[in-house]
Amino acid sequence: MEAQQDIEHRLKELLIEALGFEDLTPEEIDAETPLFGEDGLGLDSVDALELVMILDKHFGILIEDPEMGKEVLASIRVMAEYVLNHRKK
Amino acid sequence: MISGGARVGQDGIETLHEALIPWDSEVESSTDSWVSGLKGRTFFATPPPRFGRMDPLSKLTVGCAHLALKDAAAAGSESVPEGIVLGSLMGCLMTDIHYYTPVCDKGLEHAGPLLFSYTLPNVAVGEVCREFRLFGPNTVISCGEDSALAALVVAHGWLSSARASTLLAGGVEAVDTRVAELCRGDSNADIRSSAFLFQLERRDEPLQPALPMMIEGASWFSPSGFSIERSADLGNTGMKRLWETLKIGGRGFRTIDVRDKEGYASRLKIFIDTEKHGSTTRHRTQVKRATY
Repeated sequence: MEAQQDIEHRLKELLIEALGFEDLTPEEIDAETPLFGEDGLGLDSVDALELVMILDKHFGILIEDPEMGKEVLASIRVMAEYVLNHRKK
Repeated sequence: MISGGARVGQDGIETLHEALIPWDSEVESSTDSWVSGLKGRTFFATPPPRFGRMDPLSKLTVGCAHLALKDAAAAGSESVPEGIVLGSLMGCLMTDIHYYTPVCDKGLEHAGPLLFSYTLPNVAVGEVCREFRLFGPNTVISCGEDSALAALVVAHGWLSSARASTLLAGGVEAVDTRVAELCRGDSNADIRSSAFLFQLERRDEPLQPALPMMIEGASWFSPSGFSIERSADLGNTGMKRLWETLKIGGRGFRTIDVRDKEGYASRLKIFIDTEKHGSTTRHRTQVKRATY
């Protein structure tokens, strides 16, 4: 079973690829940095949908409740914890 | 007046006032085609944060617009464009195909939300307006293989009628190898990616009414009036020749004018004047107005 650190690294790689962060490496993303807002990675609502698709496609996790989405997509660390406990793939 | 311009093509990037810069190995070695390998660093010292998320049409349009603006500024223009007129035959077809292929093959759960937001051709224009803060008129024209020339005619009309005083205008086509093959079918059409954008500025002259926008077909003529075989490049037909004509002028003046002496003639004449060492040369081309 993958450790949380491995999942965090995988999520960072998937995020970089899906959202086209050309000059960013997984090592440069702090797992606790907020994904949304000026103080974080600055993602927007369309990016959030892309992250929801990543969770579904790669981990079999469906996020249908927008409120739940807000919680789960807070940071890479929170996402990885959720994946660890709810993954179906 | 044409105060600056840029083109991006298979051979590299070039501005009206600077020589061609061939692609670096990173773009050239892209597995698909050069248009799929475009990076923010290709055009910008500090790329816009969202550049990597754009589709190839938007990347090409934003990158080429940046080069055209820089070229105009370097040539001494202090004008800031208010809007953009973009001509594109293929528009976002490549993005549409990239979006719908996995959806059709594997189901809706394989749809890409980010890619979906680029499945309209005017999103590329929107990205340019957002990046360069163009708050004036903007549009995309797709009227066949002469869409880019038509965009120049429309931009000229907007300037002549004082709808804007400075505009970006030209044509952008973005297709990768697979989409080009799909579109080519059994024909010999030469379908390839390219971008040509110019900064056009209104000269101090009496205002004219805007010319009708519906345009189809164009032919090129040499300065002496002999017909020149038309380019096979779909969408950006005539733009390569226009570019070469404009480059002749070196750092001299370039103007574009569109005439419709008969009020509603079937063809609109486009005059390009280039000036070098005090001598002016007049080149002309024409676009056929739609006849319905």
